[in-house]
Amino acid sequence: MSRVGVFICHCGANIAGKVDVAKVSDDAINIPGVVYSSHQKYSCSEAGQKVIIDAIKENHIDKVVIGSCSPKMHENTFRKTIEQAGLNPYMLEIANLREHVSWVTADKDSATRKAFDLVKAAVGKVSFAKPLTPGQVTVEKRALVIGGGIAGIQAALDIANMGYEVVMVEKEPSIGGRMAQLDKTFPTLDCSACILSPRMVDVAQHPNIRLLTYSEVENVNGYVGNFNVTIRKKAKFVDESICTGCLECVTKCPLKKKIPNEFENGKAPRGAIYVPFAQAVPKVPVIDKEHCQWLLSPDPDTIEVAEGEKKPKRKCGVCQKKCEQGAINFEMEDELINEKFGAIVLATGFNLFDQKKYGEYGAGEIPDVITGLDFERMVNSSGPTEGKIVRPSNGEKPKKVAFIQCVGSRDEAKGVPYCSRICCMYTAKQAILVREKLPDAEVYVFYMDIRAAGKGYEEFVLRAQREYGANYVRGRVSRIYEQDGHLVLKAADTILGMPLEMEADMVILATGSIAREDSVALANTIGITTDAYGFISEVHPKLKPVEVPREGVFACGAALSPRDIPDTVATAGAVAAKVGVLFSNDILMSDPMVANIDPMICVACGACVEVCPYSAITMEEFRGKKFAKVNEAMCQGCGTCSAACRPGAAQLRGQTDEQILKSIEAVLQW
Amino acid sequence: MVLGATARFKSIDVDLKKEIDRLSGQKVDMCYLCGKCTAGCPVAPYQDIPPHIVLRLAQWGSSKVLESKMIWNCVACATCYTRCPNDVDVAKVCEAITQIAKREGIVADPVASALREKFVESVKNNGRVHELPLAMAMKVATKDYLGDLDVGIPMFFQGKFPLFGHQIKDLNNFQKLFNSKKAKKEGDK
Amino acid sequence: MQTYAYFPGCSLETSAKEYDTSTRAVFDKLGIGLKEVPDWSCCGSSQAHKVDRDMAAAIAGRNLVLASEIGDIVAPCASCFMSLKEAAVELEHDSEIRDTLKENGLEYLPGSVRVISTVEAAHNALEKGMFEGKITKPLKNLKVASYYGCLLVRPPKIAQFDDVENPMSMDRLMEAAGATPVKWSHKTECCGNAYIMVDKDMTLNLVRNILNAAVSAGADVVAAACPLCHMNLVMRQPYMMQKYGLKSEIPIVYFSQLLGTALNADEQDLDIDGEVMRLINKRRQEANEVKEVG
Repeated sequence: MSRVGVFICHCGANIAGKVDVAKVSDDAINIPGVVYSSHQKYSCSEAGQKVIIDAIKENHIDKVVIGSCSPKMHENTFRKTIEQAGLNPYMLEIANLREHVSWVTADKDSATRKAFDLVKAAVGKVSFAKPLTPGQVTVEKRALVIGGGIAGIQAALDIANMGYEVVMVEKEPSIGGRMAQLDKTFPTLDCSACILSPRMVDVAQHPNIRLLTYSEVENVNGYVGNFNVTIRKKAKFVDESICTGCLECVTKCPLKKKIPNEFENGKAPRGAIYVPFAQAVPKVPVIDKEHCQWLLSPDPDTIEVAEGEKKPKRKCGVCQKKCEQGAINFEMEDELINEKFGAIVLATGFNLFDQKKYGEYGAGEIPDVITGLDFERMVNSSGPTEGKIVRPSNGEKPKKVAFIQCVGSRDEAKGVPYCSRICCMYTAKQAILVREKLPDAEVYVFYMDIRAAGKGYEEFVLRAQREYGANYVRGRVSRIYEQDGHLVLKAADTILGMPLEMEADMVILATGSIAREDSVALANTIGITTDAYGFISEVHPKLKPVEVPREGVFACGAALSPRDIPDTVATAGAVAAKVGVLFSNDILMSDPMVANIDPMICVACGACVEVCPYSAITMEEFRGKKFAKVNEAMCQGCGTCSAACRPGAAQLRGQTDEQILKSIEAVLQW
Repeated sequence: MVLGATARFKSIDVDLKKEIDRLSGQKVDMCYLCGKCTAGCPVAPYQDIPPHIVLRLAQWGSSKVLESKMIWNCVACATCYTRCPNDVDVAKVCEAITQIAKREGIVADPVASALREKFVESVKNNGRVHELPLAMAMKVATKDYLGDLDVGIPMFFQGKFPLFGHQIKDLNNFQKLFNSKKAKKEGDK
Repeated sequence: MQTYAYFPGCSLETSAKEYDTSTRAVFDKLGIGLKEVPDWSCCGSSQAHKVDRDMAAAIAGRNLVLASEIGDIVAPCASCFMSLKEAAVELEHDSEIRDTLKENGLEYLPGSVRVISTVEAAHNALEKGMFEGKITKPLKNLKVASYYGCLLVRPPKIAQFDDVENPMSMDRLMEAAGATPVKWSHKTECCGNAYIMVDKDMTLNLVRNILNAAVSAGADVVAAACPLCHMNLVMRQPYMMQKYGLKSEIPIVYFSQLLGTALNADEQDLDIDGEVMRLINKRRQEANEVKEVG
């Protein structure tokens, strides 16, 4: 028979404010197996832990139940506590009396009843706990960085500079990300490309960094320190080792003015063979197989023709003819690369809200209503208009420019209740750029609130207003329509408390940031979660802001939530530090709460092999008997096999069928 | 109405605010006063205060809002509700406030009030709207006896404004629908 | 044959007779039955709910119950459409209003009746190919500004019809009738509805904006789908030219009158203004001349 000790924590007033902790503690002593019960103000405090250690020793307690906050918070703390008292750290069960009871139950009596039920269940479960010992695993000291924007670049450089090997995977043909698309940056107005491109070059030249552009992560297996990752290197149809970057092929592609260039937000064309922008790294073109005429035309070898007739040839092939290096290779195929990494960094960035969802602003059908990103390209000297600010409808200089903020931000009806954090600032920057380039143009900014919390930010917005003469009007615009060659804005000045109708030549919508459309799929591949909007969820918003629930995986930048360049760079540095901490270990302790399959009970039905999300189970054979076996290093302890196993051979250590049944029994019986 | 020295807000009147929420089925605290309703409202340029100020006064629970003309002249076009980032049906809020104002005996726009009263009266009496008597009653309410005769007389002769309209057969039962359970409950209060 | 429960609404008996007769003629030509809801009563329109929302739902609900024996209910008037559809939504959630109806011998089964407008019904017919071979008198060259007003599309949560900011179904119907739909800015701006009787100045300002937008877009006529919109748009055009800066007069017709013309329905049923008919024929002639020259 176990000797269980029960310790109920007040958590200040957090638990004690709703739960009668004294009553729970008094009643607990009557639960069979319980030899000791008490309650403390803060069990996690040094004094609280001492009470637990002393009680264990004095009362010869061998199993411990602590009624406190979520095990996510302090399970590790208390495991260490009971270990100090000489117990195996896994002889512990936490009854979550805070998140599961006091914080979510209004009525004091029912809170107390529920708290006692949870304590009973914990006692029932812990009575059948068995001592567990963690295993040891080695650490592969190489990091995978997914995403080649400023977040990924910063993280990769920092990790590489610590002396560790880094592989950077970028799905576009060049690294640089969103920042490469920007003209100037707030609040200093330095040129985005000027501060970014040296770092892009650093990445390309760093001896510890291997760059895989035009590549995507397909599969992630394994665990902290030992991830097995499959990367798809998409066929570029250009041999990177030979190409000199002369771009003769690009200038000769017959489709060079036909395909919207994603880098220019679709506002300037590219060819089927292209580099997305002049400072691209690597400066090696790729062939887009969705458009290339050679690749789209049928393979002559597969066409059967009557005798005497000529087989049709492939279309085009101009780039291949023009390339003096012979770097064009139409036979190239996607390549799958398998690599081992100790840590993974997600730096996958963000997308911008689609203006099509704003029917009231013309749904993208009005040429002179453009987005902030369109404007960045327009005002950039290497962009579609070579830096001239013009009305897309007629190429003329606008005399009156209006900005509308919060398009796809703080708009619950459009599914984006959150603030995108960057739009107030980039709008102020763009207002300044309009006034700088077109001093005669009037500028109006329609805003709801100005959110300029950052170093030098408020001052920057005030400069836009006071020095540059941008007119700020508080009120969300209801509608934009075209009339007689100009735009009409149905707006309001909420400070005056009146509607107003304004004519303008051009409107720039400050579209907010949203998660990348493939963020959920990537999260699923890696086995982590996203929030309601598709941004990657961190473990703790304050104390673990770059950690994600899968150990050894970290995230930084706007993949986590909307953020600007300074915050992105800061989190990228933080991630690098976390990876450095991980790589400072040669050996890690593995979690012993993993699955185990009893070969004597196993009937080799294979159900567990099918359901295991981590491919951690294989079929084995010993002396003619087949059975399933768990690779304990790969097992994540999810328990799916245990649920699927009909004979009950698969058991999750620390969560065995027996323990779960006993905890249910405890609630019902006592 | 005039906001100004008389509009002193020392604390929020929870009762009036709750009553507006209850009658409208909306939560006025959902509004963050962006002004998009005002920006798109077709009638706001012709009123004393715009819709977002109606909502602001409602958030204070200020009885000042009962004196507004705007609440009576909302045409229920739903432009505000369609585009509201917080899904507030402002028309329903205005409608609820007029109902409270009427109860309190404050009718800032008697003509708009007459329109709905006369309309419902016409429906209750006949089961259908009789346009000519309604239009004539409104002429009396606006004291504009001769205006629109240029339009009305030709329509009368085209047979488009019959003197005696259609009355539905089941008028008795129809009229009972005007005394719904909920309406009765309101009366009990 | 597909048959709808037809809810004409009060105005179609009086001020908007031609909307009623032309609607019946169009659906007859399309081979869709319209069976009038027996002893229907007023929908409550834009006013009843302002007095008492539950009463409004009850009186509109009466019509839903009466229609349920025939089928889905179709309403030509935008205001009727919205009142009935809103009532259907309220009745679904509010058992007390259903009880009120039940006490008066009217049992409403939630979800038993779908409410649609005649624009939606005609557009559904178009999508099913029911216009094929029936447009015998196309409205060639006629530039039509389709005016949807508020309540056909707003609020979108209730109306559940077309794109709320840029509806196209009536434009597509006009295109099917051989006309040329014009792109214009005011297809869903409010005309002021019954407030013409409350604040004439305000309403005329709203109407002027709508008409000027149609004129600027080069429309020959404005197609309406609501008797109240129609009356407001049609009524005081000469006066608005004098006092409100209306650019020029422009004919207002019901979309059903135009559709009916293209479908070669009976002229008496369509009751199109002589001047509009002359304009239609003039445009047809111009189209033919261009063809001959070409």
